[in-house]
Amino acid sequence: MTRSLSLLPGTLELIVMQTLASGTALHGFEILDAIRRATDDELVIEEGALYPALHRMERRGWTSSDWAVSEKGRRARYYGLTAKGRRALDKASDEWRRYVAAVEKVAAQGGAS
Amino acid sequence: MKDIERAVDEEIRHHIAEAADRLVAQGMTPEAARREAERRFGDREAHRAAMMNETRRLDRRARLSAIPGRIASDLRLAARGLMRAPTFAFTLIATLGLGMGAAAAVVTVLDALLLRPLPYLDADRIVGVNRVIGPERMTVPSLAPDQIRRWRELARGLGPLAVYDVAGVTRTNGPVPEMLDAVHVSSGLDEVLGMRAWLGRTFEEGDAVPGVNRAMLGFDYWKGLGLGASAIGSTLRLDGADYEVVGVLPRDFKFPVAGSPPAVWLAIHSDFTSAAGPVGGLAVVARLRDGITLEGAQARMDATSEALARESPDERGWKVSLEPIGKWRGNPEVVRGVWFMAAGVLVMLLVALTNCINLLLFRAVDRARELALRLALGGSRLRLVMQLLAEGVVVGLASGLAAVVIAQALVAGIGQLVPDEFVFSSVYAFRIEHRVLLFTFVLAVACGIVLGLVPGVRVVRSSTVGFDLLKDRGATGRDGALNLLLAGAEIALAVALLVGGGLLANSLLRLTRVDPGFDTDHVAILSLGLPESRYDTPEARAAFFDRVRDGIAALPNVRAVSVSDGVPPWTGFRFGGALQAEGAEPIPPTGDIQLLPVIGATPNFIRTLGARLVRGRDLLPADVGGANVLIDDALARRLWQGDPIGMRFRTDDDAPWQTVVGVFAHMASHGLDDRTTPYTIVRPRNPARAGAYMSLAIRTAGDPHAVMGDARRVVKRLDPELAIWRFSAATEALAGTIDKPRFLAAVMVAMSVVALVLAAVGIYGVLACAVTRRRREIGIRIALGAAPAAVRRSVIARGLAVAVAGIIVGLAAGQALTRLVRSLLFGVQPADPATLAIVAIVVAAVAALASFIPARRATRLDPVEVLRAE
Repeated sequence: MTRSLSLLPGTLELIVMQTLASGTALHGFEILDAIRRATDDELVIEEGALYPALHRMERRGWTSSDWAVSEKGRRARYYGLTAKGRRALDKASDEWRRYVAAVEKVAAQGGAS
Repeated sequence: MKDIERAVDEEIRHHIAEAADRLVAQGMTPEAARREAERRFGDREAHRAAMMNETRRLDRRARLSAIPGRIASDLRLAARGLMRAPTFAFTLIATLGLGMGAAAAVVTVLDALLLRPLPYLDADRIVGVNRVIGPERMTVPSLAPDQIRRWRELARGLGPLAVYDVAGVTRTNGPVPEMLDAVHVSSGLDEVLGMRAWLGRTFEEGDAVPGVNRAMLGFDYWKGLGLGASAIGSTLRLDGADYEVVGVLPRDFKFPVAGSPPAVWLAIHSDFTSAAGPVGGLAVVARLRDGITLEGAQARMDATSEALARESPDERGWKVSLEPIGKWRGNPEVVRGVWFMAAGVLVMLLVALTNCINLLLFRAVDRARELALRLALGGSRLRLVMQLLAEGVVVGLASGLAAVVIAQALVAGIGQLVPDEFVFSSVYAFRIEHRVLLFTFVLAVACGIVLGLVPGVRVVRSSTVGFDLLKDRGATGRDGALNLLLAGAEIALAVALLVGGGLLANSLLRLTRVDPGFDTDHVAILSLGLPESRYDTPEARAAFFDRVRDGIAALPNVRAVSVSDGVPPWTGFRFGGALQAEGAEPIPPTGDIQLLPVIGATPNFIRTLGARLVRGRDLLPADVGGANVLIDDALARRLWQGDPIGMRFRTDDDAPWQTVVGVFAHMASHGLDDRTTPYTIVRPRNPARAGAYMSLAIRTAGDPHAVMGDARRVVKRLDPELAIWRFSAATEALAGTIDKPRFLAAVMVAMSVVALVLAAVGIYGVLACAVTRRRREIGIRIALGAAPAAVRRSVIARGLAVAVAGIIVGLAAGQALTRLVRSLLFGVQPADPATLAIVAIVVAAVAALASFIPARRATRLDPVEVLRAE
């Protein structure tokens, strides 16, 4: 088993938004769960760090939240992606792909030498 | 803030609970699962602080952005609330609208008269150049052309300079001959004033060439012609000469500042002539060059006049004073009147506002249950006050709209009644425009805030006392006292205003009773101005007037006609010199001697007017050209103790002695208010010096109006191109001389009556409310056998106590107010006991009436019903 990757700064928001992009509103724990499933536990996220990120995104207008009762009968805060968040996601993922491609090129040269 | 903390904590707890559940499902003990979940969550305090920070920032922004919406919803709610009580809302809006509308109307006048900047470029750099003589600093704003020529040279460096002369001209190529107000202006005036044409152009150097006659039109006159742009290039035939119109001046452009707005502006030729000949007394106006202060310019002019005095002895004693033209605004008498109106309207507005506050207080008490309940249920006190404030502002704004409509009506309607003195004293026409609208808006919001805050503060304060408000009785104590205090204040303000209105009305009454000194019921006065181009010698002018006199004298129902250079109340003055009885010291031309009406008349003047000869005889044909004169009894007493017949006097150091041959009873030579012109001299007309402007006194057998048509036809037959300057019955001419006091009295009386009605409504409201609140107590008293009269008395006594207190305070305040207007009063002292007594009695009677209605209702209470209802 390979060692899990720690998160690059600024990528948490991209991942959260991508997770919410399906349109279903999720609470914090469900978001973490979805990220774990999607990445096969490759990424390690300090669980508590998710919440300040969610609140920051809400302040920026990327997400909106509502309190509702969960399936388990607990009061939980559900987050959804706003239209503004969707545009931010498009932009962020585009930048991310260009970033990865650029790093990829450099990495490929390093492999060749 | 607590809410945010709670929510953040709950979110964290929820996460840890979910995580622990998962771990338990994987086989951990609940205790271990909990610890592991907490560990995986990380630095809980740091995350919590970060979440709080983000949420707080969001919250603050959300609250800020919600404010406009909340204000809008408060206003909407308030408007809806008022619409549910339409009578109440109407009363509020009508009351306040009336107060603010009157205020807006007065502010319109004030603004046009004094406040709005003059319509000239950098008006504070423009100065009138006046000749001043002696210690009296008597201003004679006219100069002879050769003096101006010299000044132009000597005052070089002052800045651009222009001269003008206000005159009347007769236009003869219109539908009928008409007299127009005209100003002859030299070139350079547009540079001095910075004036621009509305259509066409202003005067140029080429217009000042002798033989070229050019005119500009005033805006209103141009509008009246209905020619539009084709007015440019058209021809006006004025005083027999053809003028080409080159431009139209903009609306609201008026120069000089005071006087009737000129219809036409005529270019003065460079040799100081116009088409009609030499231009008369010229006034000078100049723009100070950049870098020169008024003081510096004045010093330069002092040097100039000294130089002139050395050159010619005629100039000795004369000085030149530079006066910023802003000082010409508003004749001081008119300004004092308008400020008095402003003070009155402010008082009336205060009464209206107080009334509305009282009404809203009653309503707040009625709504106390609702408000207290909202507070008890945790409603924020601030929100409640905001809601009341919104109600006030809605009332204020609605009243503001009503006020604009009312002010519009007042300015348009009463505008017709405004005396010419007011209109002529203003550069601008009285018109509601954006400055006044802005004022009304600000006033409306301010009144609205006051209306909202007073009941708001009241409600919030009482609710802190406890559940007082929930009890029906809550407001009978201190609230009742506040209501009474406000009603008393209304009475006091109304009384103060009534004192002012009463004194002015009393003055007016005295003015109308002034004995004019002649038979006004049977005299008509016809004034004509002959164009000097066609009547170019004094003899020609005298001969024409004699022909008119003979023509009118031959009409049926005409008893006598005389020609004179003035007829009471329209006479000219002698101006300046000292008055001296032979053998006595000269009386300097100040005070009662400053303006001395002198009438040059044809024989039998006194008989024609139906005036009363006290001693001696009337003017005879033999007096023409001689030194015999008539004086009135007041002047006779001023100059001599005994019989004045045969005595001699003169009107200046170098004037010839004149012999008194007759004394007539005092006449209102310059109008009914003759405090500045208490004496009159009548001397024989000198045909060799006959002017162009003369009046005919026409004594009739019956109603003077009956002969006016025939008289006009006589004038038309003798000269079809001559305009009638003015023609009216003597009674109307005299009434016209007290237009200003009549107008001021009417305005003040109207305002004070409105204030009194509002104050009466205020007393009525307070007492009616008190009766409603105390109905149980009253019911018990009636049930215990109290006489209805006693109950009635107790209610009326309460109202009268308020009224009496208000009357006392109001009379004192009224004294302060009327001190401002001592000069507007005629024959009445500010502390006139009769006026004060009448005001006190009327107000007490109105207050008693206002108290009687609720008192009667109190005695009609059915005790059984009242007690059952409790």
